[in-house]
Amino acid sequence: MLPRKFPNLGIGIGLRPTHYEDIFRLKPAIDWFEIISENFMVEGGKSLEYLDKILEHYPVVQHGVTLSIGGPAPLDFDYLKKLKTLAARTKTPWLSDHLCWGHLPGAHFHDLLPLPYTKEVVNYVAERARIVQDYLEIPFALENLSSYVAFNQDAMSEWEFYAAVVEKADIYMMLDVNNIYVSSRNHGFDPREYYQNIPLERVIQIHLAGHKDCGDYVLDTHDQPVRSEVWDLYAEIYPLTAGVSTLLEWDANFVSLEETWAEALKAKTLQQLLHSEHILSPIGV
Amino acid sequence: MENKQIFAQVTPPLALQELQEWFGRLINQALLENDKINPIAPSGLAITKEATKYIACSPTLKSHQRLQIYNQQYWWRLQEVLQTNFLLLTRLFGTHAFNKQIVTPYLCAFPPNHWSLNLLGANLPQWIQENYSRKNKQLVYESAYLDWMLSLAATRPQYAPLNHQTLTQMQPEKLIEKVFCLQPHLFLLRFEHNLLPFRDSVIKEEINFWVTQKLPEIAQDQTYYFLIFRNSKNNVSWKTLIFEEFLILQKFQSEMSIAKVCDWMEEELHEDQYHLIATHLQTWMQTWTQNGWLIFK
Repeated sequence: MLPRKFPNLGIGIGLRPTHYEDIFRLKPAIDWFEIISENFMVEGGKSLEYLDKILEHYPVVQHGVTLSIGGPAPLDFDYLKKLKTLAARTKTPWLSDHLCWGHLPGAHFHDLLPLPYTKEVVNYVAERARIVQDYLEIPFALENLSSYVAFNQDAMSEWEFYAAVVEKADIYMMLDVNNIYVSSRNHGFDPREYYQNIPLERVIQIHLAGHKDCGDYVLDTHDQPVRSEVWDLYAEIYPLTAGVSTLLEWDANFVSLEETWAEALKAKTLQQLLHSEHILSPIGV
Repeated sequence: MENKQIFAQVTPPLALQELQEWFGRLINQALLENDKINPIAPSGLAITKEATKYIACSPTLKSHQRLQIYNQQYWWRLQEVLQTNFLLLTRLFGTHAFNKQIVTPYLCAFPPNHWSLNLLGANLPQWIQENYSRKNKQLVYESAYLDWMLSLAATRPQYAPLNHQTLTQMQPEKLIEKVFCLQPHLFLLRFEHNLLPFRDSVIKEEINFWVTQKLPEIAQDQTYYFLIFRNSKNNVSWKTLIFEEFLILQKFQSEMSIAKVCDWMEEELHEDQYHLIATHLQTWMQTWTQNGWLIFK
């Protein structure tokens, strides 16, 4: 099936409680917000009240962290039902989670754990992803991970695995450019080989974030500005997409809303530069 | 939904399942004092050897060192969540002691089993009751229980409350037979310490402030009764109750009509308690209604 055309929402930032007050006071011209779905899958209280206020003024896109698409436990349809209920509230144009696992029967690890890259796992994950998209009745995307281990049983590269899953499931890609960079450093691959070998027409959103160089490895921390190497990679990848929504994630060592938005706006500046240099077609802006 | 049945036929590859079970056992094994991975895997084998069976080396890290990153992230993340959800309890210990004496043994006994991190501490008060044995056990238990109740109150639903007009327009004989209950975000608490004012002053400071400073005095000369609830601004708030008001709210929390409450009062209460409640009940009901705390079952 040919990928459908998705709206380019522009540049967004992750909605975090530390910025609520400034958002309501200043009503900044931020294009859109991304929420962590699980933070709002509650029965009541302040977080839902704030979400409803945000929805009055901004588009909101949902991003999840606990689906565990590659886990051995059966898909949790109670969780999916709550996710779908929230999606009806937010009117999210698409919904994403991670190409990972994080849940065994009776145990949640609350982490995005890597999968072995084998054909059997492609088939398993793709089947589950297809079911999720059918159940949610919303375009569903999986995000590439930052990872720190490689398994002995890996039989293909990460990009081959990612591409095979989304194509077999006929779902979409939430492409995290920072994660490509972090994993390339941890596993010693060329990030260009990664993005040149995935179906970029399936990308419906891009993530950017900061990371920490720990010397022996690179950790995806979301606690600092985006590194220049990641901006360079974004500048190469963005023009190859259909012009997709871009989001800055910042989840620890928070800075002010103004500073967070200023960091995110670098993506817009970069897009404008690419456009002025005719690297980007008008449709992609 | 049909999807459930379709999914029931999808079986995970055996090799994947084995790998994940192994990986899971490793990362929720407690870290050492120095935050390093335990050199002995749960199987009893050396982690340096066992990790190489599943995980490839990188140019800079050995297999077990790569696994250690996940082991550390698991524990550090969960420690942070419990520190955030148990503000008073954490401050009674300070970060280091809280992690060592509470978080690690608690999570070894009750590893997370729900997708919501909000529920991570659901068994912590019970765990403290059963496993903590130091002299300040009662304060520690009550603090954990209070933090947990406040956390629950923050996300419970709020149903359309009864309004004064509904109550005044209803025929009295029908009204007294209607079964009342309380909004799900209301919690009635009974402590041996005057805990809520104590908590307010303690949590103003950073977690480790009280490691070197003496905690504020806390009264424990009587039983203290509190109500926690979400106010009209949706913020979690609290008030002190007198025993009799606590009793009546408790009756409504367990779903009861005014007629049944009156029967109970006549049968169970001392005369002075009965008269106190009889004197205040109408005012209390008005206040509770104005606050939106009462709902019909």
